[in-house]
Amino acid sequence: MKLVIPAVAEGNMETEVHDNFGRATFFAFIDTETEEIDFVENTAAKKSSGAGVGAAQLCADNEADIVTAYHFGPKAFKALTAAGIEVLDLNEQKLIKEVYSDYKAGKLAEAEAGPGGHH
Amino acid sequence: MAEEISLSILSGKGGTGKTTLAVNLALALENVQLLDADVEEPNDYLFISPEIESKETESVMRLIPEVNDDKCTACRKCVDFCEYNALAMMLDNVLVFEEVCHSCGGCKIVCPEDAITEKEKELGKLRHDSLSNLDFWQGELNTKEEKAVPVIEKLKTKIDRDKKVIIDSPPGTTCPTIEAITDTDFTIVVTEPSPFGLHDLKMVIEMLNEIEQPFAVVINRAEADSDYLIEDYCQEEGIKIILKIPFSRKIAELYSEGIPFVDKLEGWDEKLQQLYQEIREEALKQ
Repeated sequence: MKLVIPAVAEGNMETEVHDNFGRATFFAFIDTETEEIDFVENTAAKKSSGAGVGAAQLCADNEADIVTAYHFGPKAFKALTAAGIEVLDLNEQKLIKEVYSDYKAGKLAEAEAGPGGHH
Repeated sequence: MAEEISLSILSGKGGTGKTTLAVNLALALENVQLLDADVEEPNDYLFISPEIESKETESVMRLIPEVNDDKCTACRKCVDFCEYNALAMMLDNVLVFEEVCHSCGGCKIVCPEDAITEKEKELGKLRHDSLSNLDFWQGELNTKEEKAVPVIEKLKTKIDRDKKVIIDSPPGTTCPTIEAITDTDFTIVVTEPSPFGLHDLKMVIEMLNEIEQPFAVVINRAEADSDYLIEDYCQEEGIKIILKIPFSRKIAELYSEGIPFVDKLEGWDEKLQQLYQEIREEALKQ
């Protein structure tokens, strides 16, 4: 399974989680079988609008199975679920490794679509 | 007939007094047209035409793409073309996000399979009421819609240049605001003497200078011991303060009852008429 976590920079398991899904600088893709971690730049972050949709597209194009974030806007949520991607909410986690261990422990709850960004 | 001018009324933040000034100025003048372009939350009608919902309305439509899944080959050209991420390709299906679509029609043009057609969708409404001496128009963005500009564009097609035109603009410095003030002869910036007021005033002025729009400042909720906040800044920048509306319980009470203060407080009719004439002379000089 490919688990996606928004990240503030290209890094490793110690890198901080980005607080925004659509505007995250990078996405960490963790292969849950091999525990390999890859970073993909979020090209959608710089778009003037629809960053959440663009980021969802990027996750789908990179064959994500599960996407995590503190918050999903309605459009990103709709796009991800249409791609059959599981969407999970973060809360207290600060570092990528904390998200990963909470995911493995089954502590992440299914997300709901929240309010979107401002324009 | 004397040449009339168009005025836009603007503020950096909401709640500074745009409505107060727009409504009272419109009522103090004759042969005037008031356009409420604050389409996300128009409220001039509360003072001018409380029953406007029962009056004449006109839809503002826009086009959004519709994808025929039978013709679509999932080539993705439309998704890659869309600058606004209004389209996404998920499991070989194109998803359309109507709210962020700018109605440019580009996706339809780039589709090699002719799978995209456009359908009309109501974006907002214009409402109209005709009072003696005052022609009132209001733009209104529908709930869940995000693009205010086309509603303001349509509203501005109603401008009657034989009248004194007052446009109550959306607050701030974003596209809808710029759309509302573009091509008006002069802008009045309403502010209040507080650090917030000053901060947002500076943002607006930066934007006005950028688009080379002539303007002057009105201080609302003016008070002798705090006006210096705005006055010092304006003096330094060479900006004219053309009116002060005092911080008064009476004015606030009238506002909360939906009564324009020009109807109740003496002297304001004349003051606002004079204000218009001063601005008119200034604007016609430019």
